[in-house]
Amino acid sequence: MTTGRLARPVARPVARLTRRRPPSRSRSETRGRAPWPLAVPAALAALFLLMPLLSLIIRAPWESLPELLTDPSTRHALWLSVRTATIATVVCMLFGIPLAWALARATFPGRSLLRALVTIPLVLPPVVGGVSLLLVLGRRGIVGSRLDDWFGFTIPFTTDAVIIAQTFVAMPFLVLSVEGALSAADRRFEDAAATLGANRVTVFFRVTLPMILPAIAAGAVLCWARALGEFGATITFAGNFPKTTQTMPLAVYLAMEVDPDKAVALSLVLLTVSIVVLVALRGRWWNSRHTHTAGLT
Amino acid sequence: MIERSDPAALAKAPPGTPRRTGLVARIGIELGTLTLDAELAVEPGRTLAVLGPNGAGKSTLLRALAGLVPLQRGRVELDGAVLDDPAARRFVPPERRGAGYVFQDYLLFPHLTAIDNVAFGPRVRHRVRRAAARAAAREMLDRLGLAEVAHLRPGALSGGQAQRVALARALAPGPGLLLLDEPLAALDAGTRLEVRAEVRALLPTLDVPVVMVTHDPVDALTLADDVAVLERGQVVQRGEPAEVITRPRTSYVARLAGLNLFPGTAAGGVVTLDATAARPVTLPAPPGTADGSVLVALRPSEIGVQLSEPGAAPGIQVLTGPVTSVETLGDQVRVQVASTPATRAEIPARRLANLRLVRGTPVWLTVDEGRWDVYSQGGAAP
Repeated sequence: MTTGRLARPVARPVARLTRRRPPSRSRSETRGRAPWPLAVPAALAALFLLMPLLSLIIRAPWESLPELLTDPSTRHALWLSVRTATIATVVCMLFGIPLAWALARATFPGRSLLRALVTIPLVLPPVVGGVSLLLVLGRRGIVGSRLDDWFGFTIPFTTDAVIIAQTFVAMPFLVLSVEGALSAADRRFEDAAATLGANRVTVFFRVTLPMILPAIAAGAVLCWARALGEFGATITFAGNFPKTTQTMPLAVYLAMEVDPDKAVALSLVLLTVSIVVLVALRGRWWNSRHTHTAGLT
Repeated sequence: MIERSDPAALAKAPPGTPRRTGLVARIGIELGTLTLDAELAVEPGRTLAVLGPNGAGKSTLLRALAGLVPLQRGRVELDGAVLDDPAARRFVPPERRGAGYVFQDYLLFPHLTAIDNVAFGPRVRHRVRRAAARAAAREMLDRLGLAEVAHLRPGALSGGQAQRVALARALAPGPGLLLLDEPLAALDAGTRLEVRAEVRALLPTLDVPVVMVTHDPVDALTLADDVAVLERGQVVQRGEPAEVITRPRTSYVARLAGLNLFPGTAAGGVVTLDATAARPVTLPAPPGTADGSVLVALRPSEIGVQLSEPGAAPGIQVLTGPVTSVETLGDQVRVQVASTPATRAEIPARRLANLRLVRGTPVWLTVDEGRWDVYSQGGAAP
């Protein structure tokens, strides 16, 4: 026992040396090492994705940053973006969750076709989305002309139009996330609730909804991030008017032509928001490779 | 039609109220290749065990009683109220049936604590306030010895605790019918003994019909007042547990009971075992046996095993064939013999040392005439 205690200080540096490269680890490193035809393009791809983001930080006008960000036009754009993206997310949830439920649970003809069509805004160029929205809700649009004639109510080029454009592009994110969770959920919990006396509405609000809450939260965060970054449909359908329709991405685009430093500062804000979103979703996307596929497909 | 029972209805009905008729059901459902066609009657305060192999339609039967699966034919009636009758286009949905259902894997709501799981029923069914529902739930949890786990989520409960919470949840709204789907199947052996004892103490205190589905004969024998054996969607036997287990009507029940079961034919006071035409095995029929098909049960331990042909003796039947398997059961040894008909004998382990039986050893089985239990085939009388 005494010898062991004496021997310890001598053994320690050796242990520290060996601990750095234990045999099991070097073996796994050999297996995990990528051959160069893969490693080189992989490194280039990573660099390609990260360099532009890094350059935003490197070239940011740090000294004039407080000034640029407190500029009234910036404050207006930021406030408008946060407000419209939040309202759009709420609208997406109010209408998207019932749609997701219908796609996952209800039986009606053309359900799988509808499911495919609902995802179109995901792949559609946003500008095309803006044009289509004009065709429906514009002053001469199918629905918009009625609104104009009967109520004297016009949507295009207003803050409402911004929200509608954002809702249009962002809703599929929420619908897909919630629909995936609903399809994967064990419906026998709903049976159990029914035997306890819960009618279908109660079952939905007390059992189904709470059980898919994580998927709803993840869908809402994605939805909000997409709405915040919306550009193409917004500029087409809502225009680019300071205070009413000029959201952050539009302000960045405009600033790029007159004041590049300001554009970089605004971009930095949006980058920060993206990182916050990523952190908010880390449980779903970083840790496990399986959960996000279950949630989104 | 179904009156909303108030939480106090869980207590026994006051004296003087007319005797309720309980559950009367005739269930007809086509399920792919399986046709479920079963009649049941359970009086309030009694427990019926539906015993059967996997795939016999047991769970579907229970789901039909709860209203989770609609009937295609038949009728379900509880205390005179019709719950399901496709011919009359009547169907009471599960939330208005007041049937407590304990699921095999419990299905406790993962987002609620144990007490809120139990309070769920009173809250949604009787529309009572959260505090009142919680108070009722706490009482129910106390009654089942679960006060300490009330604040835990289902994930933190042990198997036995989850089972009891599931039972408390089913009982909390004061059900008019209790349905148990393999209530003890998901528990480990030790916990199963413990929970079985608790359920056994609890069941007689409930003044409602209880239907329990199980594939474990021990559950059926210890917890039930009556047993119905369900095979391939049909009730093949029903009766009190002791009768079902001593006079099986199908090879499935005979196997559960550990008995040999032979079909036979009675004619003129003599029973001939079927499939023994070449060397007929005959035994005297007990007095009063009607001519026709009968069943003959034989306990494996009452069969003698010899290595050579015994001399003919009156009052002893002999079967012969090679041994097909030898298996120890504690101090007994089970010997399967490919005689006509195939027979299972049990001998003491020390006797095996003398006989040295292996697969293929030819043996002669001797049975004392009085050991055969002959009874009529009779349909599954209700």
